[in-house]
Amino acid sequence: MANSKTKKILISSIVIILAVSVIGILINLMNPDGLRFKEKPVVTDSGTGYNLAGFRNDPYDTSDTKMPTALGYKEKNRQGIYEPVKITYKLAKQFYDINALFIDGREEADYKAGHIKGAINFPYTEFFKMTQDKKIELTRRFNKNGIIVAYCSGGKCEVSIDIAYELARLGFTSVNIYLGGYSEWEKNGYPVEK
Amino acid sequence: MNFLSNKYFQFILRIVLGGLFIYAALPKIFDPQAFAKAVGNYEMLPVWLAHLAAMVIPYIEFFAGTFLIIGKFKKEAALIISAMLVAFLIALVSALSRGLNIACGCFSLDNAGSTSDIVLRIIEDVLMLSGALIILIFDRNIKLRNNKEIQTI
Repeated sequence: MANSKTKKILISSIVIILAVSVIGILINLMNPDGLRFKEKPVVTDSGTGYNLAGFRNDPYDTSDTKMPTALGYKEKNRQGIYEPVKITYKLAKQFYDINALFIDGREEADYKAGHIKGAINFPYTEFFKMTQDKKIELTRRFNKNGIIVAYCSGGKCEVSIDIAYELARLGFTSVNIYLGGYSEWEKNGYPVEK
Repeated sequence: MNFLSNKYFQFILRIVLGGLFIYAALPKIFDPQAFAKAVGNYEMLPVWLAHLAAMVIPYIEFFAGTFLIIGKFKKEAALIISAMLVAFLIALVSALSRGLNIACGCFSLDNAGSTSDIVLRIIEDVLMLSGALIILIFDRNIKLRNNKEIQTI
């Protein structure tokens, strides 16, 4: 009796898991922002297709409307935002050299201990607590079409991704995510500020 | 062991454990990309499997939690939850032993991880696992009395 009862529990558990799994997979596949089995190929590591020659970014020129098209890779995604692009150190350095705006998503203490030269600090804990109006106010002085590179400590930090999407939702059109982050940047001997 | 089978004790245990699982499932259901990232950070599964896990785990958590609370399929739910907690435990211990500095991805998806955080999550996992096993083993939902099956709660 106990044995058949155990067997029954086991079988119905498996049925429940399978049924619920199908629900989870279907919901994700129907959701445009849901997961897919294949990871989206996102990391770009060269300037190919980016016409950066002779180009100089101005992060504070709010009247500029032409910049992203100069780079030639922008299209709105299904959420109606310009999808942030994940980049490696090579492209991050190229963007740095043309005066892109670097946003440091780490906490203030980490930022003060050392950051990419010229980067502006948006500590993520504070940034995500802000109201929408506050965020708009904070980002008003920046060129919406300028090149932005968000980063954090590198390795496993995800803050740069979250901040990049938030900036894209605020209307910025050329947001990039530098996954290598500060640790890689410093290791490469690129300009830092302490 | 009478106490562990006490129907009020069992009831409270089910509400708490079920509630925790629903609470843990909701952020993952609403932000599957972030959860996939959290799963991927453990570096234990190939991408497609990590994504499959991230697609189904939140829903299994949600439904198992719901079943526990409403008292339907509670043994099954307790078994499923135990199995998941064992899997999570393996992942956490493995992350700890490899010195990975990652967010747990357990209850909240927006915290940077630390080693002490992982240790805390392991303790939580073991506590919840004990609860699930108590439900699985000691809950007497069926008593044989004159060959009739009677539900106690």
